[in-house]
Order: sequence, then structure tokens, then C-alpha cells
Amino acid sequence: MLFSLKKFYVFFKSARMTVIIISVMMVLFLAGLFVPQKTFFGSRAKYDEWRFASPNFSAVVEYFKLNEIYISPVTVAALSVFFIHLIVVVLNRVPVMLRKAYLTGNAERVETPDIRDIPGTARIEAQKDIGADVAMAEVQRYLRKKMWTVLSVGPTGLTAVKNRYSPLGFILFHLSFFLCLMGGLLVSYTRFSGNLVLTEGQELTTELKHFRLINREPKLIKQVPLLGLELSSVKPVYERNIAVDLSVNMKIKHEGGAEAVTLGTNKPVNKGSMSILPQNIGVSPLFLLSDMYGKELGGGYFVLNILKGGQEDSFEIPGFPYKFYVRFYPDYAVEDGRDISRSLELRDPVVFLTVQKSGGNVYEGRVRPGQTVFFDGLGMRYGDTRYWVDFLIVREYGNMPLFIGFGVGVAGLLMRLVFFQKEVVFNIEKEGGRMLIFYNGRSEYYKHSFKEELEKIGRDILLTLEQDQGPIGGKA
Amino acid sequence: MREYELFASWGIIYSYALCTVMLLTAFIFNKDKLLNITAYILLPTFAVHSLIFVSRWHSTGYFPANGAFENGITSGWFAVGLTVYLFVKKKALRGVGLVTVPATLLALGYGIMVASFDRPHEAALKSSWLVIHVAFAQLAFGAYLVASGLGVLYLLKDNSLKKSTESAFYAKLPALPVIDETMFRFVVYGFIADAIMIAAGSIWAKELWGSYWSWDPVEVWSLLAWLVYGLTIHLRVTLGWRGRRLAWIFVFAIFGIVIAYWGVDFMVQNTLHVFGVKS
Repeated sequence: MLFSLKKFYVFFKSARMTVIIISVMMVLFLAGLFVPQKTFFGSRAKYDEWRFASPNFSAVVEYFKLNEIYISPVTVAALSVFFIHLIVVVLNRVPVMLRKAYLTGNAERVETPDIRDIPGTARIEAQKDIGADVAMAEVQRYLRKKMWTVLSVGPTGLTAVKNRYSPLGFILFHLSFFLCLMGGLLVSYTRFSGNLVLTEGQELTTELKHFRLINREPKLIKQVPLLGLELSSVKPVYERNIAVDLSVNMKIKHEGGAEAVTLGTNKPVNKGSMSILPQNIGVSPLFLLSDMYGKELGGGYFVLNILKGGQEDSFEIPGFPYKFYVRFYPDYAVEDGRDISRSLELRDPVVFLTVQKSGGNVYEGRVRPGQTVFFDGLGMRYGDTRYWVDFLIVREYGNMPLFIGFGVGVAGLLMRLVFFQKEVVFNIEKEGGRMLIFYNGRSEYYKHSFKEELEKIGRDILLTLEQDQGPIGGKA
Repeated sequence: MREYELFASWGIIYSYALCTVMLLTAFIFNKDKLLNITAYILLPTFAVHSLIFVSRWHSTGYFPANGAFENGITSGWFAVGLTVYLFVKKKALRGVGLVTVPATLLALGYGIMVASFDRPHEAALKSSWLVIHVAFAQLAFGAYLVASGLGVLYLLKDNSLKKSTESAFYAKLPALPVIDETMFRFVVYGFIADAIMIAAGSIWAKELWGSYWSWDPVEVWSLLAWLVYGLTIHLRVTLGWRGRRLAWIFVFAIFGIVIAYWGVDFMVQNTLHVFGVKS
């Protein structure tokens, strides 16, 4: 039993296990692109349509929650195994990496080996009559100039390493996964997100009752900070019906103070843990219902999804049996006998109003701002048109570990894969009046290419030694 | 699009088409001279390509990443740029163009056929993160594509070595370990650029959509592609995989990136990332 556990542990911490886990996660993520996900459908009706069309398949998918695969128990289990594996691997590899970076154990006891008879060892021969100590000092000086760290200097040779701390990149890169996990979990558990709609001139607070939609409620720190939001003005800019700019001016009231801010696409406002992003805009036409004597009976600004010319939306006025259908033309024109909008800018707004009562039309016609239409003894006045903005309000914690995780991860990758470790060993020997320098080395990842670098080091050192050298640090 | 830009764009498309034919001919019929001539065509073509890239950036005022045409220009620029680097610095590896040049031709051809050239720059794309996110994405694509091309060279050279007499054409390619290491260098380069692209994209997504990660199909494919390359690095560094096996993986791994950048738009309707905005 103990033996089996040990065997399992050895396998679990192996690189093979890393490959298996990454492969499993890849399969799961891939499945999320082919197994219909709830988010693919856009609406509950479309989702139900798919369920009825393939009842058996959808039953299996729903049973295993594969329609929300990224948060399904299978994925959570795979991710958990991944992180447990990562902990085990990192804990096992940390001592190795520290040793490789010469930070523990052998840091002070690096001994320069005899490499003269090792395959691959090259030799240079200095013609000039110089002492071994001078040669050794010159080699050291050259290596230090080229950013090598000389680890040990013995009577007959030296050992040097380049990018000594590169192995620490392994620790940093894997640490970044945990920072991102920590940040991700914090974000996930503390995230509140909801949509709140404001029309120009309107003021609301971030009390939950004012939200149009709560997308996500936090599992931790449930209290969402109370902000007062007042929408002052909205200015969208369109070019050929494509939104190219958006300026949303508003006042944010917080802790007794008020601050005027301008938001836009890509320009959210952050207040502590809260972020406010304009997500969508539309128009709210003002409709006022009155009796025949002009006495106002009801109405107001109605938030309608009609900005894109010709789109239809509807509203009702409480206490009255009518349904009002509105089509909106922000820049009205007639083309081939059809109503169209030349642009999305509010240059010449016109609404096409249909009033229905018990399923039958009681009024239908075009109305311009300031006009009143009459039906059933009532008058309906189209006042002005204001913009509404659908704000995404997000409150979450965990940004800092995520940002640090990103930075540490990239730094780790650079350290480990770009500034990888190389080692050289030099043996210096005086033989019959000749100075012989033997050298060999190794590099991580690029064994073959390093040979060229090693040859160049040999040539450079020979050149240094052949030059007219004086005492170390100065010319003769 | 100004006339000269259109003219120059079609010019480089034809030129890359010519280079593709020459590279193919060189490799099929083992004609070393054709490889040399290709270099003389590819270098000025890349210079014109660079001019289009810069002039586009200058004239629109933003980094070229708006729609399929600009994405074709940018991705091709990085891919051919790295190829030109190899043409100049490591002449023996210029055969890598066998993969990078036709890929650039396809990206540019697709872009010029489907995209509107003067599409206004959407508010959503007006962010400094766009430059970082897209530049690193295209740099990663270019590096991975070169690695893929080196994988092809490795396999061709290896096949040639297995024959009783090695062809003189393939003998001019560097030794297999050199190709293997260069291939790995480019994978590492792409992997780091890819990591920066994902991190930058995540930060930008928070500003634009209010969430660091939405499991959007493009995000998922990018993550998958990154994981594939991460896996290959693990295979090489920790399990000691070398040579043919890795070369085959590098040849095919590029398709993950191609799907993320070009394929998702075809496969799913509801991605937040829309690259190939059609006219």
C-alpha cells in the first residue's frame, strides 16, 4: 500500500503528469467550443429550442453541466488537480532550482574540475610569455566584462556562470499561477456586477433596487458601496453608423462629496473597488398623455431600445389600456417611399407611433418633437429625446494579485527562457614555457549553438592574452 | 484607401505569390539558385510592405488592427519580418519562407478581399492596450509561423538524410540540431509574446468589458494555443523530446493560432472579438 502510494506520488510529481493534466484541460476547453454553451444562445427561448431539438444529447450535457463547461465540476476538478500538481512540482523543484542558482548548499564550495580529458574540451595556446596568475586574472576580467559570474577560482582554473539566477525564473513563473489563482478567486467571490440605466438628467444610487439586471452577486463582502450617480450629458460620435467615440458626463456622489467625471468606451471610472463602464446607449423619448383640456395624466421618459433606425420597441402607461409601439428615426428621411434614418445622430428625430388598444390600432403616424397626436379623446405629446446609458457597475477585489501575477509570470518566463544559464570551466596550465588554456562549457536548451559561443570566448581570450598586457587593470 | 496604398497592396500580394511559386519550385526541384533569387524579390517586397504598414498607421492615426485587411498587413509584416531576419542573418535557414510567405499571402489576400479598407476606427478599439495586445499577438504569430517553417525544413532535411545520398540542396541547410534549436528559439519567442498578449488583453478586457476573462471563444482558443506551445516547451525541456516528433508538433501547432485569429469568426456568432469585419 505504502509502495503504491509512493509510486503514485512519484508519478504525480513527474513531468508526464504535467503533460497529462495540461492535455486534459486542453480537451475540456476545446469541448467548450463545440458543446453548446448557455452563453452561445443569447436567450432562454433559443436554448429551449435546442433542448427540444436534441433531447438526449442535451440531457447528457445538462447532467454533467457541460453547457457551462468552464465552471462545471469536471473543469473545477481538473483545475484543482492542476494546482495541486503545481504545488507538488514547485515544492520538489524549489531546492533543485536554488541549488542550480548556487544559492544553497554548494554556493561556497564550487570546485573547478579537471576538464583536460573531457570530450569537447577546446584548447588555446598563448604564445606570449605570461604567468598563470596573469592569465587567470585576464580570463576573469574578460568573463566579468561579459556579465559572467566567476564562481570559483582555484590554483589551476576557474568556473563561471552566466545568468546565474535564471533558475529562479522557474519559481517566479509557477508562483505567478498561484497569484493569478488567488486574484481570480478573490475576483470571483467578491464580484458584484449589475446593469443600471440612467437617462440624461436622472439621478440614482447604487442600491440594488435600482438595477435593471444583477448579473452576479458576490459570495463574499456582499455590501456594495453606495454611490450616487447623476447622468449629465451623453455625446456619441458616429462615422458611417459606427460609434467612433462616446463621452458620458456624470456626477458621482460618494461619502458626502461629488465629482464630475467623463466616461467613455475604454474609459471606465474606478472608485475604489467599484468600476463604472458605459455598456450601451439608447434614446428615451418623452411622451406625455393628457386629456382633451391639456391636463397631464401620465407619461415621462421611456427607456427604449430604438436608436438603430427603424427598430421597434414598446411601452405602457400605468392605468391606461394602451400599448404604444415606437419606431425611431434619429435623422429622418424618406427613400423610395420608405422611412429611413440617414445616420444615428439626432439631427431630425421622428418617431413612428402606433397606439394599440385590445389588439387593435387606435392611432398610427409619424410624430416630431413638440407635436401632439389625438386618439380616444386623449392627447399624446412627444416632447424631446434624451439619451440613456446602460452602465455596467462592477465591484470586485483581487486586481492587485492578478496584476502582480501577470508581471511576475512574464518576468519568470524571461528569466528562465531568455536569460538561460550557461557555464564555463577553464583550466590553465604552463607547459614548457607555453601557456595552455583548456575550456569547456554547457548551456541550457541550446547545447549546439553554445559551441559557437564557446569558440568565440576562446578566440576573444586568446586575443586578450596576446595583446600587450600590463599589470591587471592597466596597460604596461 | 488611397490609390497608391491599394496599388502597393496588390503589388506585394503578387510579389509574395511569385515568391511562393519560386520557393515551392526551389524545394520541389532542389534549385538552390531560385532561393537566392527569391531573397532579391522578398527583401524589396518586405520594404514596400513596411511602407504600407507605416503609412497606414500614420494616415489613420492608430495601430493597424481594424478589420481583416489591417490584420493581414500587420500579421504578415511580423511573419515576413522574422523571415527576412533569417534571410539576412542565417542564410542557410531562408527556406523557412516556404511556410511564412504563403501564409502571409493568404492573410493579405483574405484581408483585401473581405474587408472594408476605410472602416472608421471604432470607439472600442481606441485604447493604448490595442497596440500592446495586437502587436504581441502578431509577433507571437510570426514567431510560431517561423517555428512551423523550421519544422518543415527539419523534416525535409531529415528525410533527405535518410536516403542513401543526401541531395546537395538539402546539404546546404544547417545541421539538424541547429534547425532544432532555432525552431525552439522561435517557439520560446512566440510563447513569451503570447503570454504578454494574453495578459495585456486581459487588462484591456477589464477596461472595455468590465471583466478580465469572459471565456470568449477567441480567448479560449488563444489560451489553448498558448497551452499547446507551453506543452511543447515542457516536452522538450523536461522530457527531452527533440527532432522529428517536436518538428511535427510545431508544424501543426500553428493551426491553433490560425483558428484563434481567423477561424473563430467563422465558427461562432457570439464572440466579443470581431476581427474580419466585412464591408
